[in-house]
Amino acid sequence: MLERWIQLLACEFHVSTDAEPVMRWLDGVRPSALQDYSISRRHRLEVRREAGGHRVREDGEDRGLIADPDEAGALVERRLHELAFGALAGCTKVHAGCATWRGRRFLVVGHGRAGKTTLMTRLLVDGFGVEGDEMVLVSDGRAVAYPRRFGIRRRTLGLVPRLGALAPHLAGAPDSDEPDGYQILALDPSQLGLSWRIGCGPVDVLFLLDGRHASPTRALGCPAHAMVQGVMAQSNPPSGGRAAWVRDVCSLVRGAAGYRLTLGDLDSAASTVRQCLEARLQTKDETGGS
Amino acid sequence: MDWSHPPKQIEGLEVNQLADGYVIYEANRDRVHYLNHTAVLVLEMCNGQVAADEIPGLIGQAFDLAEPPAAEVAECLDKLRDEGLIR
Repeated sequence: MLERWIQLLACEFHVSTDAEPVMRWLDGVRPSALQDYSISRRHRLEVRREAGGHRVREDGEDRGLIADPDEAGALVERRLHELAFGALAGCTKVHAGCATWRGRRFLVVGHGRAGKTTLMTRLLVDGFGVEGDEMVLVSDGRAVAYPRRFGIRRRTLGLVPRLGALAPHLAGAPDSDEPDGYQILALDPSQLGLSWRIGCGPVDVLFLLDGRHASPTRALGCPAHAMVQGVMAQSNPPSGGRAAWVRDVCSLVRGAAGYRLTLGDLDSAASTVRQCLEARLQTKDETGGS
Repeated sequence: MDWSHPPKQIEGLEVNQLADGYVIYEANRDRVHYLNHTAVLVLEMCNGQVAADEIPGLIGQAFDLAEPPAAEVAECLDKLRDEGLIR
């Protein structure tokens, strides 16, 4: 019997199967991140081979018989995330990458295809403590990246060449059959020999991705009320309702310096992000902030 | 504008402070408003106890102004009323 214990923030899952292809599939998508988050729920998922396919059970309850092992693995993965999100229903979900640099936490907020993953991947290979590329959960002024492997598009391998050098297996992945030609590769930072640790805490700097241009990346200070508008446009409300949503976003913005980031080339993007964080460090040092 | 009328903010407003202003969530109509510091101060004074004609003097004291900002307060009250935040 093959077994894994998987933490997704507040949930811990025990997954077991007698079907090696199912576990191989899950091992290809589960995040290895160490997570500084209290576990409040535990679930058990089992996949057993039987006549006609793979029987999936969740906490002892039948979830169906799936013929294809990859599809059985995909069902288990989907349930892991649904259950994990269910345990975090009280948090506001923000479309953002999350990272730390010299002890300061920052978010890069933007819609899908705004360039979050490409920028976060570049920052990762530059030595930033990148914790997530896509989804951040916010509650009571604290933010935590949702533990999901980074969704690297094949195009990113060309934009961040060091990624391909560190993980040549990514470049060898099969071509996409997606209509837009993008192949999504599930990158775990451990595949690059990097540690992946997810923490939870207040945010020092917020970057709002605001389009792209051919010039060097530019960061402009953004008023707090405009940041609230920008972050709300890229987030989903918690189960507590819209008042709690506004409260969460305001608490996130209140403690942070805000910038609108217009992405140009990635070299200037990385240095611009670093400069903004250095400015924040300096401000906090001058004001005696922690 | 009736200066003798004591304006009163509507119920169900949740005020969230930011560095450069305030975000007000109005639950009844599910609306979000952005107000500057002065507008929120005026809004706070709209408690149904203070007549409109007293507010410029109170704002003048709060900001140590030479003259009560009657025109600005009137404009602010109009905007708050237009936004449905006071009645």
